[in-house]
Amino acid sequence: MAAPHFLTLDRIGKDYGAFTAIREVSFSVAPGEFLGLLGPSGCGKTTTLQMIAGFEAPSRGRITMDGRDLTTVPAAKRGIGLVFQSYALFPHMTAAENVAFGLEMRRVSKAERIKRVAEALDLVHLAHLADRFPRQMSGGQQQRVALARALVIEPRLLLLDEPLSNLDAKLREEMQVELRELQRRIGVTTILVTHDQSEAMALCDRVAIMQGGRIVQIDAPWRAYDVPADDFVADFLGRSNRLPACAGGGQAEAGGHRFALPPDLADRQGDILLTIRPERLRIGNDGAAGLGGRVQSRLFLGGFWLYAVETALGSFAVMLQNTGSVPHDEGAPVTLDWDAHSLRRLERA
Amino acid sequence: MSRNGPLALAFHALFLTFILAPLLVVIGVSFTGEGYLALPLNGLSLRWWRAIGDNPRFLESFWFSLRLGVTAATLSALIAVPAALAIARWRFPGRGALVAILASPLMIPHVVLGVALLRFFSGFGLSGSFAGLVTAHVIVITPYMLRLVGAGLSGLDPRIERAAESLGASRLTVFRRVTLPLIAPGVAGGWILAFVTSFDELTVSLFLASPSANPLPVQLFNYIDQMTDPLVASVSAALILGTALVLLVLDRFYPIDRLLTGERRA
Ligand SMILES: Nc1ncnc2c1ncn2[C@@H]1O[C@H](COP(=O)(O)OP(=O)(O)OP(=O)(O)O)[C@@H](O)[C@H]1O
Ligand SMILES: [Mg+2]
Repeated sequence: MAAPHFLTLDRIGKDYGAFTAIREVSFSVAPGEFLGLLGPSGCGKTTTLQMIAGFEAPSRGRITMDGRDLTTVPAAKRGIGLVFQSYALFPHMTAAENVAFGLEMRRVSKAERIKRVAEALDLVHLAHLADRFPRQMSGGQQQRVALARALVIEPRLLLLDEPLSNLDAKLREEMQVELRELQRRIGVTTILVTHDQSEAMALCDRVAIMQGGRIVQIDAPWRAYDVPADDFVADFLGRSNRLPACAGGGQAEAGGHRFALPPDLADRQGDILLTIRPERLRIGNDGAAGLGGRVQSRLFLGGFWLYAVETALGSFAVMLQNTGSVPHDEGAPVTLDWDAHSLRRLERA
Repeated sequence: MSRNGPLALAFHALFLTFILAPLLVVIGVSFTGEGYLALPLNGLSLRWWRAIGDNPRFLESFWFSLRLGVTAATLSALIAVPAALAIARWRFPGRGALVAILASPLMIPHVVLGVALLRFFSGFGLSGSFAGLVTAHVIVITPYMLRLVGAGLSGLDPRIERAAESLGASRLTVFRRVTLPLIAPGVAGGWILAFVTSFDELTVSLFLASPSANPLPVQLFNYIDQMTDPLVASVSAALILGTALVLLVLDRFYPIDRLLTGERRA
């Protein structure tokens, strides 16, 4: 069985005059998949989404949905649910009227419409604000109306441009869970644009990391996290520590500490740049084997302790689970230690 | 809103005085019983108000100007709304030229425009006709219309229209259900401004009017040319009071200050 692709972007590019916003973007989304589009501001996430929605014409390349070339299909006929970064609610309509609009366009009967609007508003916890106008709602509430408006038409593809960015932390977490559940339940293929890498990793089946108008890596969240394609991805998906070392004979040496290399790096010779995530480091008492250092600071995060350990190779961030044991004091001499398989070699970007 | 300083207060007072005083004088004079423009009044009389009824040509001209204003303002709206949309939404060749042409009547002295249109319309047999006056007035008032509609449009985020489109609305439906309702205050403000400008227009009309197509300002102008009895005062006073009444009623339903700035509901 060939992997069925619901949506395919084939070498898409977009120029605004002399400025190239999208250099080359290719990816495919499977039916029902939840894809995260992640990247720093200005990297082209919104532009990509707008091209899929049909509001910007690609300068190069082809977009196909369900095997059909979308080039000549107008936005109104694509059946795509779109949540804009700026919500773009109709200011002269109430929340309920906003949500009902797409159903009216589909000639859904009035009784059915009322029912589905109520359900959609319920879904985003806004049933009590059905008769409010957008200007009478907070940013987060408007964002949820926009979400309900896009969902109620039961789109074949859901495009979300930072749909949760304006919610407070608690509501955002709640909405994330609901969004994920909802997406699973109705099985709608979804592309979520976000700045927030933890949101993308929590919600998405795969994440695509964009930089400067191209996709640097597209992978399952844990793979992108554990095996970043380059420096940029490694930094973007959470913290990582750099460990410049000198390799030889299956081992490496850094700051006077000799350690084993993972099997895939065993044949390396000479200078090598390794990275390791904060949660993969262990802190040992002074004198234990490992890279020597000193606790610079420690932050208590409830479930975790976040240490900064100063070594000859610079400062290392270390994340230790709170197991109830007495923590290392600030200023105390310690050693850092790790398992060979936690080390990654960094491709120089 | 910030409080007015003494200088601003003085300015407002003078402004109101100079705007309102002539109007009050005209209204006062219209109640004279004499056969000439007299102030101060010695006794109130409705003589010249009754005289309006005896001079059907003023009434005829009034209705003519009303028809002219309504027709010209409406036609102008039909031109300005699509034009403003095209100018605001698209970059097309000749866009600059279109903006310049539509705004040019503001920069050409009305005397020049009147002479030019007279020459031009004579060729088509349009001068001295209702159609000719309508055309001339549309040319004169469209720049105002365009400005107010444009102001309404510039406050409208094109993404709102895109959202409607992505929900399945055709271009026409987007215009009808989203764009038009949102720019309606601007269009209404533009319409009123255009109507008032047309109703008030003298210079261009003077060249194009004829006994069968005689707007009220031209009628009044010609009357003063021949006679100076208080009939012009009573006709003017009737217009002032009529306008005030209409504006008062309108303001109850739609605040005029917002209408004229093309602002949407706050
Ligand atoms: N209409 C336009 N004309 C010219 N340049 C544009 C236009 N729209 C976007 N750009 C440029 O294209 C690039 C990508 O923009 P885009 O809106 O896709 O970024 P983004 O990844 O969504 O950023 P953010 O996270 O801040 O929303 C930016 O550098 C932007 O300045
Ligand atoms: Mg964006």
